[in-house]
Amino acid sequence: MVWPLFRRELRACALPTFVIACVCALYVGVIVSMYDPELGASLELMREAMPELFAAFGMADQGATLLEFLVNYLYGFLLVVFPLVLAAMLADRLMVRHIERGSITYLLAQPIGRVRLALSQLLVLVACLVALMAALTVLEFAVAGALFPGELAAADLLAVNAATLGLWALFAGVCWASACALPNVAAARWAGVAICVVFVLVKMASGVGEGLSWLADLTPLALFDPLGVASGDAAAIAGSVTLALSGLALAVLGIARFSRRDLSI
Amino acid sequence: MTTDAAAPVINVRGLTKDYGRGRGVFGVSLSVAPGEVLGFLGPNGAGKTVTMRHLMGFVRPQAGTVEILGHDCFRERPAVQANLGYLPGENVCMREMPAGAFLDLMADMRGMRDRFRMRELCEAFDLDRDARIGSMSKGNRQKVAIVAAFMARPDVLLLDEPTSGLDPLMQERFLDLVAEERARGAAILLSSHIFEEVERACDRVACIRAGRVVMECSMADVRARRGCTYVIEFVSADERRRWAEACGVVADEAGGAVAELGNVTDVNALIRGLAPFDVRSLSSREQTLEELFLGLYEGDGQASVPEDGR
Repeated sequence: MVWPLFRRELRACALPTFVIACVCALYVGVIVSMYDPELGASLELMREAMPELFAAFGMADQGATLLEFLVNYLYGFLLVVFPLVLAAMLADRLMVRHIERGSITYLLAQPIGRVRLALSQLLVLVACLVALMAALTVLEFAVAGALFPGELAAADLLAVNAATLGLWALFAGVCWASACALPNVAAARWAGVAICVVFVLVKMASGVGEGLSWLADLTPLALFDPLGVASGDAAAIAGSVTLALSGLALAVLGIARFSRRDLSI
Repeated sequence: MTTDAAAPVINVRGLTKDYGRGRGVFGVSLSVAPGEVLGFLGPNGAGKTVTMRHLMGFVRPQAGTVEILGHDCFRERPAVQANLGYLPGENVCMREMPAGAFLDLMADMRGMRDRFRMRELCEAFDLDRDARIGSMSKGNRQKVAIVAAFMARPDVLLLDEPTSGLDPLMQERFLDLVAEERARGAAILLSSHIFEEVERACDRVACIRAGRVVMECSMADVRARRGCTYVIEFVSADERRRWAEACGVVADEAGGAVAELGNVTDVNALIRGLAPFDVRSLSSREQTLEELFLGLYEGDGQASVPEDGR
């Protein structure tokens, strides 16, 4: 950790994190408030009219509880895609842009090893994602508590969010590995996010119909089962841990490559 | 200083990095002692920046060794950077930051608590610490880079085109600063295209061409090596043409009645050759450093390599 740089980069990354947090907060507020028997019936009618579309966005089932409702309508797509956008933006800002502009010259001209530098930058990314999740968790509790007191079990929501954080860790790891390891700036910027988008699209396609359900096995997102984690299912917990560890492993590989690569700056 | 004063601080031996198609550096060897300024000259693409990148530990050598203060520049980067100030050729400070905040960040990352020298340099170069770097002129951005490189009083300075964009007054202050650092005992490698700057600032000079060092010698040797250029003014352009035809000199019609002869070795022969012609004046001047090095840039360079290799 390089504290002066960490503090500076955290300030620089606060705005994009805040913007994404606001967008996610808007959806959280709207979707929690949609947990209403009458609106629920309307949603059910819409879902029956367009089952494939709803399934593609991870909204196959309305669920019996507020938590299930949230998981189906919020964690199936919105809280997957927006954090992915944030992870890609921050990996770009924290690593690729410094290399592209050459400002990394000044960072590397200080008596700090490359591993320590890259780790410090990665911790900014991780801190932003954790802060986003913390803010959303507080908001979910606040909105659910205000509109539906006693409906949302705290431990279950925390388990769901921990599982989601595991998925975000995978996204962050892929984007970070790409940003650190690839010599071409355009590839470093886009390869990681492109791979994650393919994961999401394959997951969406696998939900469209029975014929494509086999696609689910081709994406790591198949390991993402937040309701399973909330119910204490060992396989679901193992899946989330695997996602998080995979993200960590990719980030470590990216940093290792960064520490040894030639930098033509 | 942290090393024995006699030992070279910057030590490059047989450095090779082949980027293909003749690009890169091939068997480059350089050394800079404490309290010495080595001018590093060469045309664009000659290998100056590649050598600098190796010294900064940005690039791993294919062959050879690159050491600063006895540390391998790639494997022991933090130990090298702790005693090194770098002024990059491309000015790439964090443009969104004010100059003062950027310099404070660099100082914090370096663990530099004493900011007196930083403030002193900011004042010497009239740097506005509150201005955003992105909104600064090229010269002012260069001042930020100069302060960042010099503020920690490093033992080694790598300066790549350091006065690029500076006005003459600031160039003068920069040369004074280099002299001050040299007197303090810093080893300085200065890459530049400005020959006057090299002539004033450097003790020795190395010229690199096509990835190979084609000449390395002291500035005293460079001065001694300079030939004389003779300027002959004839009474008319016709007279000059007649002389050119008689002596077999290729006439430059743009010169009118004036002819310029460089690298004249036998002055008596020149005067005897001019006797039959009507000459208005004959004057001589010392060959400029620029003329000397342009010859090296354009030629094969081999003829100028001294026998002792220095």
